[in-house]
Amino acid sequence: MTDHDDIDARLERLTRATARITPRADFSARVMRATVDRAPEVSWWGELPKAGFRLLPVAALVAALGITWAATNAGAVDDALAGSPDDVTDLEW
Amino acid sequence: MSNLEQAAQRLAEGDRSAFQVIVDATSAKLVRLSARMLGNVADAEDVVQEAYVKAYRALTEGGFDGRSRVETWLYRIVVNGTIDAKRKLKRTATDELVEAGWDGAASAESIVALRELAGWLGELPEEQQTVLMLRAVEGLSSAEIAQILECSEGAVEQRLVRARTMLREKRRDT
Repeated sequence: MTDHDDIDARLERLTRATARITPRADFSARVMRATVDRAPEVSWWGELPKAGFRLLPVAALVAALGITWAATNAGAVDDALAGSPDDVTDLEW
Repeated sequence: MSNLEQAAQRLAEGDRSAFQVIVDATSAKLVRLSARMLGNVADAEDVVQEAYVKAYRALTEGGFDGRSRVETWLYRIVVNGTIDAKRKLKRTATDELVEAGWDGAASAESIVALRELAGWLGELPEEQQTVLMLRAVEGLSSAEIAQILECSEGAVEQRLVRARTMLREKRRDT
């Protein structure tokens, strides 16, 4: 028998001898208690920050469009005010 | 898609009961692997439980990228956890005799074999020991081991050759 065979034979014997090892019967329940049961329930309040984060790009786009619109229309308001002697005018929207 | 992959997807979608499927399908295998590396079952259960806590968090919070199979990924977490535990645990021979919940002739034989296996392969450097355990004892392929250890298949083969060489040399020395 070579050294190689000897090592393989010993590994095989120890593999067989340890093949029936299993965790204790309550192990699965223990794991579930440490994971699923410990995790907080998903609530509306808990989900709110996540939903807010997802809406952030849309909100940023709306804000940018709003600023652009305001900047564009500011000139029209100034023109209308300039023609009025008492700085009061009726604006048409 | 395998049962485990389906369960992982269901869990990611909020079905917590799917985690039970994952635990039931993998716990025996993972505890056995960790016990074979550590030499006792009680510590292996702690390591695997901690691995499941990490896995649950990753699966529910989107931390699992799905690049590898769920089982391979779990093996990786357990192997890393076991290596960490081995470094932390400086057990005495007396401590190792304590095995709560184990009795009967078959269990006693298993405990002796566990200690022999961990002690024998424990003579090897960590990376060689892990590779030999995964190949010769767990029966995984080089490709699977490479995925678990995040190295190349060539590195796995090289470590295997070195591990066997070192065991032969140690045997000759004794």
